[in-house]
Amino acid sequence: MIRPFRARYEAAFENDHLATALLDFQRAWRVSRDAQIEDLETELGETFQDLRHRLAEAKRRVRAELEATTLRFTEAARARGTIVHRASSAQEAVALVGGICEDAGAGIVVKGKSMLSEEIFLNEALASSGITVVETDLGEWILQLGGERPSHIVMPAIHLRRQEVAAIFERTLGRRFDPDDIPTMVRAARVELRDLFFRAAVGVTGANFLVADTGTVGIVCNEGNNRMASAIPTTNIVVAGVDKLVPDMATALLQIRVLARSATAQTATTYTNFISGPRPGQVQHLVLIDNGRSAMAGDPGFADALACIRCGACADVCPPYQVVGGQVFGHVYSGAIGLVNTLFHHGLDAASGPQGLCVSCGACATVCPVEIPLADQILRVRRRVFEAAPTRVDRLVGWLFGSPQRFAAATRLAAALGAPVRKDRFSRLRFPRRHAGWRRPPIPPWRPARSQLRDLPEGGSGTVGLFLQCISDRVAPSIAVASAQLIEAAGFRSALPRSQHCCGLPSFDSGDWDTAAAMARRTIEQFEQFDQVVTPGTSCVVAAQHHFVELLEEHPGWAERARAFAARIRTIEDFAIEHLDRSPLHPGPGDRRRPPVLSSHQRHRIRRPRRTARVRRWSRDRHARRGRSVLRIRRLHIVARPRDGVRSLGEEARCRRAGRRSRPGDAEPGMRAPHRRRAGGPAERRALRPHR
Amino acid sequence: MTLRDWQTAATWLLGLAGDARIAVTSAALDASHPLIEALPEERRTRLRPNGDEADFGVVIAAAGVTEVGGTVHLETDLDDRIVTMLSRTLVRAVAIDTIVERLDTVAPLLAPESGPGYTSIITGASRTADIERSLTVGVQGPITDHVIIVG
Repeated sequence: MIRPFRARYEAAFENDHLATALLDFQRAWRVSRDAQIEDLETELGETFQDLRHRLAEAKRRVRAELEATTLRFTEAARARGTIVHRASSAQEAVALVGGICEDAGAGIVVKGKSMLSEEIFLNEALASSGITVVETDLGEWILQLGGERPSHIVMPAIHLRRQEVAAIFERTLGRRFDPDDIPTMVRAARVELRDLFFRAAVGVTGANFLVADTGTVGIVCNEGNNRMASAIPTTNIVVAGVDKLVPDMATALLQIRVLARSATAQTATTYTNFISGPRPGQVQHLVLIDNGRSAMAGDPGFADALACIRCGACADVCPPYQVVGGQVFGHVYSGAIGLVNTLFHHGLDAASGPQGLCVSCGACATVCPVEIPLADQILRVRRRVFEAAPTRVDRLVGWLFGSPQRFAAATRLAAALGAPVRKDRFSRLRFPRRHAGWRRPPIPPWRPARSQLRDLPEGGSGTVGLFLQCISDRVAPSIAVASAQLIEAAGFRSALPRSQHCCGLPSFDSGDWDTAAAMARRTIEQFEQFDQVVTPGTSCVVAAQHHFVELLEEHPGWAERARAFAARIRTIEDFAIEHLDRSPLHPGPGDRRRPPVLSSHQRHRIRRPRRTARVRRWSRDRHARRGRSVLRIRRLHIVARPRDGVRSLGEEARCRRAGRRSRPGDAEPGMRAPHRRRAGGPAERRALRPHR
Repeated sequence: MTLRDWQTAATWLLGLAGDARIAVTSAALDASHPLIEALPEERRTRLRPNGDEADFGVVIAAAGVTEVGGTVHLETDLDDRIVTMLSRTLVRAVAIDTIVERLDTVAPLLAPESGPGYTSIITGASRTADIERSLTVGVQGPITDHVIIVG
């Protein structure tokens, strides 16, 4: 059984090796995977986007007619001599498999790697009826001997060091193993397992796909253990979820093309096996398992997750996964997909802890070979978790951000308390590390942006609505003030509705959709009068363009208003890039001045106070060093070189230094900054260059 | 490696195998495949599914696919599968005129029209990277793997 989330979480931070090993892995994977995808695109003359869309569509069609496809497969498989069973729950499935093993008189069962068998806790169930279950995939075997659970969908033992593997082998095999001699350890598996394939009466495997047209079971593997487990014993049991159905062989081949590339960054696995019925002299059973899949297929917010082909790519790019590993980031299934499907396979309690680890960076969805919108789905899981049992922190977020008065009072209080230790306008509070770790909240300044900009009108025809963003307003007002100056510099008049507050993203991210919806509605109401709304809060634009419509879907009439608002709001960077070429700052024809240089930077980051505190600490210490961070709020200035005779709107000398490093012409018109970026630092500067 | 004809392939194979007997599949035997015919009978052996390994095995591929760099094997009988599973050195022979570019072309081979069938696409030796991502060959099946293209 799986230990409680809290215990797994604490244990992960005791392990110094884990994050480093996973970082190495993620980096290596990314390089090889990208090369593989490029090759594939060249080979097929089709983009990865198109390929994955095609596969996702095919799997969507299967879901739309799930029962019909299941029957088609069942009929075809039965015609080949396979005995097909169906199980609606994990309990039913393990009872079925247990019964078959008993009938076959199995003392020993050999198993190929199967995530589904993990999902239904098959090993435990068989062991409790006195059957010896032996995992034959090397990684799974090591975990079985060590009493552990997989930490990655395709590389189950990736969290273990060779020293730990050697210790496990020594303990179980009773002889010395040199940790540096990996081939000897691998050979031990070959020798120990060989005999068992021939002594076992039953072999159990999973399936990578089930072809409805032909009744074929597809299994890919590198070690060859799956072939032996399925072929040698006289009884073969295949356990598979109904999500593995594909309509035809062409779809199966499409899946093969993206599977190995996304999983292990191989063109193809060593073995791809197409099993159509039992071999002569063998009985073959196939247990088709639902275990929450129909419920998933029927839920439009989650149905796409059923397309998952279990490649593990979502884990391979995930920053929090890299810090805590798959035994924490997930339940049975790890990575982003595990944060979603756990809700349906193992329930809300099991999903509750891990979902809080997601930082909504969205990297998973970019590499998913079946285009599952994983980050969005995790937020939907979070909503359910909040609605079932909101945590104190999540409630505090809603309480604090939900009311402009409370937020104002809190930031003023923080400004007063922080005043004695403030060094400059962006000081951070420092607690002793032992007590606070990552927690270094910024000290808000005395005057929020709204009082610094009190001369601006509340509205008026032709004005550009300036949405301050709650954090810029009260914690980093110079960003908001610079934004107002930039709007003026581009030749527009800005307006500042006084009752504006926060877009609601903090509550939305906490799963508190009711509070978030109320805040979104208030924001839309206040800015509906403007044709253009500009904000320094990139994340607010993401919220408005990406989440408001879904958030307000249940509010009659509001989805339309949200759509209209999404079309009008954009970041100050996007606004500047479009308008600066027509601004008075820009040199006209015959003017020998250089064009103004636009630069933004994010020296002063503010991170969301979620419960991934320790992830953040790590993130700051290590991720930041390599230029990755999770969420940030940037400062923005127009920087121009004084010697060019252009008035500088930047406030601080260090920003000028940053500006001098930029090259003239960086801010060409028509370039757009992507809204959702993982990268900071150098990428931030790149954002103003053409989008490749 | 590309070899001119089956006879040449057989000669190369015998040289590679040294003193070892060469495990062959019943399918190839039954079909009197020219490569198998060209091997002296005393050098051929059959592998039984009882846990024994062969030092040396040869199989004839039904097709080759350049897209994945793999060979396609029809191995419905366990006796046939066992050769690709349990030969320490495996030679996969593929006739040049059966090599195709895309997987789609071999789709009809992947499942028979009716009745039971088992098709594998093999791209190399049995391998694992389960211990610290260190690539190691021969975890279960062949430790050395050759493909010969004939014709």
